[in-house]
Amino acid sequence: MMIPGFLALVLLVIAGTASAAPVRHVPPASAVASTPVELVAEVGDSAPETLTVHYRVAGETVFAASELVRRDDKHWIAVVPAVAVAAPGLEYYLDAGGKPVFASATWPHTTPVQVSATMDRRARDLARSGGKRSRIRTSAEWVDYGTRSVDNVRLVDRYYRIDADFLYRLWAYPLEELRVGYTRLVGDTEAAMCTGAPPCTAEAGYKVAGWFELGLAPVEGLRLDGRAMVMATAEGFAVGGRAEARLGVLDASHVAVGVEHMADVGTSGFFRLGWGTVPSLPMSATVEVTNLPTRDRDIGVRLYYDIACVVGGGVRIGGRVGYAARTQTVAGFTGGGNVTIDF
Amino acid sequence: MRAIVIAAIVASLVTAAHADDEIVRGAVVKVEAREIYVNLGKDRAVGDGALLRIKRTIRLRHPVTRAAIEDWVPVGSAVVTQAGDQLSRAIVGSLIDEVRIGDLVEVLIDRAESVRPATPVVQPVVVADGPPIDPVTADVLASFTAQSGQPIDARIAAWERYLSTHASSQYAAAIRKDVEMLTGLREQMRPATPANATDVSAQIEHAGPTTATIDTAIPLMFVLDRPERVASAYLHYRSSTDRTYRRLLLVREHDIYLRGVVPAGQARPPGVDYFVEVSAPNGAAGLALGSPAQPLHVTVASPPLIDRFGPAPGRSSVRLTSEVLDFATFDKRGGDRRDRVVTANVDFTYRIDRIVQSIGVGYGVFAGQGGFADRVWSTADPLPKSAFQFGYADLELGYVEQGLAISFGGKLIAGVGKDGFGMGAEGRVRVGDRDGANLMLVTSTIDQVGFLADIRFGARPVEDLALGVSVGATDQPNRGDVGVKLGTELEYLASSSVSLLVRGSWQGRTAEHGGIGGGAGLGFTW
Repeated sequence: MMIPGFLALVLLVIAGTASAAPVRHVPPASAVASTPVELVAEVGDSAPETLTVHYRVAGETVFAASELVRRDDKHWIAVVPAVAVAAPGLEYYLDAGGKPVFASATWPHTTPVQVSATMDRRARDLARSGGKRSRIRTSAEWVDYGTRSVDNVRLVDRYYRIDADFLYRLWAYPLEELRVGYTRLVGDTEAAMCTGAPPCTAEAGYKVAGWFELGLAPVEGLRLDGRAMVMATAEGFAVGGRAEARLGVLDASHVAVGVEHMADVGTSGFFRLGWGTVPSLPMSATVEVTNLPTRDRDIGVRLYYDIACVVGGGVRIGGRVGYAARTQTVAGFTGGGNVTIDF
Repeated sequence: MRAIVIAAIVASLVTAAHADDEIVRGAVVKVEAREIYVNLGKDRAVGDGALLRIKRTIRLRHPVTRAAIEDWVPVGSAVVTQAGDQLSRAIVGSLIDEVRIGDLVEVLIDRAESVRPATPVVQPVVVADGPPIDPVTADVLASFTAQSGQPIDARIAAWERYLSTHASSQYAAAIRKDVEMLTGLREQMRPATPANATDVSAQIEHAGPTTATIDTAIPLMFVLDRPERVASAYLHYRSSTDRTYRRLLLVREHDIYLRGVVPAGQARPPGVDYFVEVSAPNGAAGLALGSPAQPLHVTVASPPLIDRFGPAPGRSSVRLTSEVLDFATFDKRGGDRRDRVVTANVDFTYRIDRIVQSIGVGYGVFAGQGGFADRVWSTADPLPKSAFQFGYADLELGYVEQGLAISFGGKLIAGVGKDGFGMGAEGRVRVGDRDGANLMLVTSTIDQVGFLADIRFGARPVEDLALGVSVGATDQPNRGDVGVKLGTELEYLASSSVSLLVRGSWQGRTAEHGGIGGGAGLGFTW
């Protein structure tokens, strides 16, 4: 009594299997970037006349095609050229005589493409920099610790600083960047020795210093900048240096601590917190302890806030405002600006 | 495909034509121990040894018309051990748990000598006479017709197969509802047991990825060795840190391929686990690749350190606060006994959901007068003043222990005071949720100013209001006499990005030398 129903079921199964694909292909688990990928398809007794693989890099729109060739009675192979094997994946499908037999053009299979850690990191760095590897930056800053009067002598305590540098993103890890630049730092502050009766002020700083900096990143995101400086100060030829340890992206969210020493011009140490949570408006706040512009001066603090605006075309304009003081009673203004061009 | 429809319809017609005159039908009227009683007996030619077929009526909806229809599913069979006139007893053994009162029973009565109606001539179904059936509808009808009289599991498997090959069909949504209904019915009829998950054999060939990128979907492809043995397959996946798996019906392509994609959101470190469960056409289900206990694993690497500083919303905040503490408001003794502290701060904080929970930087101004309980200021003993302008760096580390958040933080302070450059430090321990109920111990010391030690209880009694109550001791502003400070703080969270802060306090160095204080603040988060 149940036989007719059973027959119907068998008919259904037969009908279902009759449309089974004659081509069997197990896609590779992954591929290595820039390395050809061999695809193997197993065919049944009714081998198709042609078997074609259509492939592209994931994200592209147009497929390239290549016919599979017989390796033996049952196996056909095709090799996807290295140029098409790139991150994030290789998309492909197979057709037999124009009819898809593995995946399809509308839903191709994606084999993830793995890249070396270095290539992967370089790709991320390239994305972060917007594909621009060079940068020119200029900045100018005015620092005033305030003016006080002693015995009717007006004692100013200020300096300005101009920096100009060129940076190239090498990404030869751990060396990420090379930077070379010039700095001018000229100030007027209370002098330790006066030609006349003290107190008095005198010029401090240097006309021009040249420097070279290496940006090292042993781990992606952890950056160590080391700078060597040479300068001609009031006391003659001098050397200096600067070091900064930074976690995060300089132009976005980061935390940094550093120190800069410039011979008789002085030393400063700083802590900076930057955040890039407002699109196109990166900001930072810095606490700096310094005796600039001369090592003989009392240590003071500088508290300043930076904000920049990305204006497009790789150009960024920034501004700085802040406060500087060596004592609680005398304080002054810190202000400055900078322009950065990436290309 | 039309051939399938015709064959199926013909088959069902043939079955119906024979069923009427040789089968007697009744119902289960009692279920007891391992036996059942049915309302069929000798009066209807049912005797000892008769084979009972037990069925259950189910209500379904037609997949195309959505009309309500009745069908049945087999429950099992039993043998009549004692036939009465109108009732019979049958032993069902372990099937007893699945039989319900009211289930249909059928007995095939052998009436070889009776007049059997001639086998009806099956007329070919002339499809052309009816309205034209499009291929999509024909597929649905074929699958539906083939399910008639099949067990629930087989029906579910058949519909899942249909869905895995016709996910975008116009009937897919309705069929998914039917599958849900059938699944619910299956749970009612026979709760799934581990034994159910082992009675199907299917081999799947699969080269699974070993690594994946964080927050990136993972496409998976499986190749069936014997496709006819598999009606449908499910991919079970989870992030390795999750306890439970999610389920995804794999898409069937070209009959032998099963495809699925683990959603990008599941690709989290340390990785993704998955296994594949298949259903046979008869509804039997089983594991085909991996298992819940031993799944296949795809490693997902942690994001580089640099990405942890990504521009996620809600991480950055700035808070502006100002406070005045007067220690001599209620000092009624004569003379100038001024004793007060004024502070103002700007704090920038960046929060990170890691061991390093936050990093901050801030600026502040501190100004004070007095600092002593019993001194009277005069030209001979002038009012001592202090001031400190400072900046600081702040770091907080934390972890969660058995659901309890514990964090340690500190500040390094640098500034200038009346004696020039000076430094300070702050240390704190917090137990509890930073944004909820917590207890915090804070102690700080600033060069030229003095120390402050505070115990603060924070809570969030209502959604948009935070409360803080503190008890502290300090010798600020001039390293003078130690006093006590009792403070209360209310923070109104006006929105997700703006908050308003109000503080009130009482502080005193002796019972006579005390006063009130207050402050306000404004916070922004983005």
